[in-house]
Amino acid sequence: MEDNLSFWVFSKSIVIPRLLEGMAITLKLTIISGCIGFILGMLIALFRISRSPVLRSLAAFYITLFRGTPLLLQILFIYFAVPTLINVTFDSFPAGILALSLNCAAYLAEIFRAGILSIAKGQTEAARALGLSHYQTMFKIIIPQTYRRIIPPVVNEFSALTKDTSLVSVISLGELLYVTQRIGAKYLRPWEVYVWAGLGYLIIVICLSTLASRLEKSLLAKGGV
Amino acid sequence: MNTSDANEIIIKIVNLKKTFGSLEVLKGISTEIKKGEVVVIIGPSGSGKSTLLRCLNYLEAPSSGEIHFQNQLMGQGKSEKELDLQRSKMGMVFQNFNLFPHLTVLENLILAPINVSNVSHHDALALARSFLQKVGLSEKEHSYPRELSGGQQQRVAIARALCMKPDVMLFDEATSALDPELVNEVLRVMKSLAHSGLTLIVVTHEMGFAKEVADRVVFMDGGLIIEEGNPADIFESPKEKRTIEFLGKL
Ligand SMILES: Nc1ncnc2c1ncn2[C@@H]1O[C@H](COP(=O)(O)OP(=O)(O)OP(=O)(O)O)[C@@H](O)[C@H]1O
Ligand SMILES: [Mg+2]
Repeated sequence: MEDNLSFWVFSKSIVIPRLLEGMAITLKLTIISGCIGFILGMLIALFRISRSPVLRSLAAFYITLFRGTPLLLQILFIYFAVPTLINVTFDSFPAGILALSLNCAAYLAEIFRAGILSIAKGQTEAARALGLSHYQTMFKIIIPQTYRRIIPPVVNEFSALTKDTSLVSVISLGELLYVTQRIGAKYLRPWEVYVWAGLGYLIIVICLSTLASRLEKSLLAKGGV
Repeated sequence: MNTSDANEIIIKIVNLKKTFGSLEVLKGISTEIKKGEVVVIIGPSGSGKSTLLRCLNYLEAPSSGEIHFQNQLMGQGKSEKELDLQRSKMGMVFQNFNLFPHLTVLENLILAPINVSNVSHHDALALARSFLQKVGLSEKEHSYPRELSGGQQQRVAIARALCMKPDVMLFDEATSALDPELVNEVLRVMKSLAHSGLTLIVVTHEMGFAKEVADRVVFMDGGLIIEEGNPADIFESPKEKRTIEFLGKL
């Protein structure tokens, strides 16, 4: 019987292979939602500081909505409630991606906005005085100067996202936590299973941070701004 | 320069007013600036000198009044794009240099010619190098701004403005943030521009510069032009009480 297996044998033959599958899905969720959230977040940040009051309020509303309600509720809403409103049903994977991207975009938008506002006004003035348009100024002068200073909060947000992907286990998406719970329950050996799951998340987050500090250093070596 | 050129008006300011909230900073400025003229604006802190320069190129939209630049009304009725183009023909040099810190000197210089005037990369580089040479910084083209002294940064900023082939240059206390020993290298560049026939509007506390190169000195106080005239008249026999007081304090 499997109960009699030693910790190492049980881990190696049963837990780790399945957790690796779950971890792959967790990684996919993190990377895809992170990328979509990044682009969407940048767009929302630009709306948030645009000159149009309509765009500004829209962005503010979006950010308040997604930061003001629990992510768990957003996941359940997209998976269970949205299909009853409009005639689409989501598989759990796209539903998870959608919820995580929309949520992460709201947090990233605030990070980007703060980064943009932290660049001295003189930079905008110098660029505009040279004849650059509002958008050229934004994309060629202001945003590139925010890269290094937004890396720490963005990595922070991506770490949070990595951990938040565990919430989509509620819609039976076989990511790391979901797989963990299933094996833990099946073999009635929870602590070994949960320890490995915890290590799985740790590894992803540590890799992220390492990557980030490398990036930060290489940016520092270039412009140093 | 022939005589008809010398009398050509390049900028005409008509009853220019600017308010911030309830604070009226410019209370009706009217004057004309001739092509090739070097106009130095002096006045106490808070008198609206910077605001006037910033309204001229529409970094700040005036509250009322008109600015005619080369017989074209600035701003009003123009699209954003037309305004950007008008603005690009008025070079501006700031007290704090405002070089783009994430770009090298050369990149700072070629950015606007390529993106605003659609100059080719190749031509922009040639242009940039010629102006860098003019301000004596050829050997710094691959440096980043933080690697330069204040005086060098300001000379790069001047070269950057010149790369747009401006018809007017606006200087807002271009030497005020510099250590005293670095002031002269920047003033030398400004003087050579003055002698080259470029129209300059210079806000400065450097009275020596005003006396030496200004065609006209404008004294501002409280958002108004109090007195203007040639440097000798303004500095040696000012007529207005406030001008006398201001010059007396220096
Ligand atoms: N964006 C702004 N919002 C509100 N008030 C402003 C703004 N810009 C300038 N002011 C005010 O307008 C007045 C004139 O400012 P300005 O910078 O034009 O003076 P200045 O003559 O250049 O003075 P200084 O010699 O100190 O540079 C000041 O009282 C200043 O506080
Ligand atoms: Mg000023």
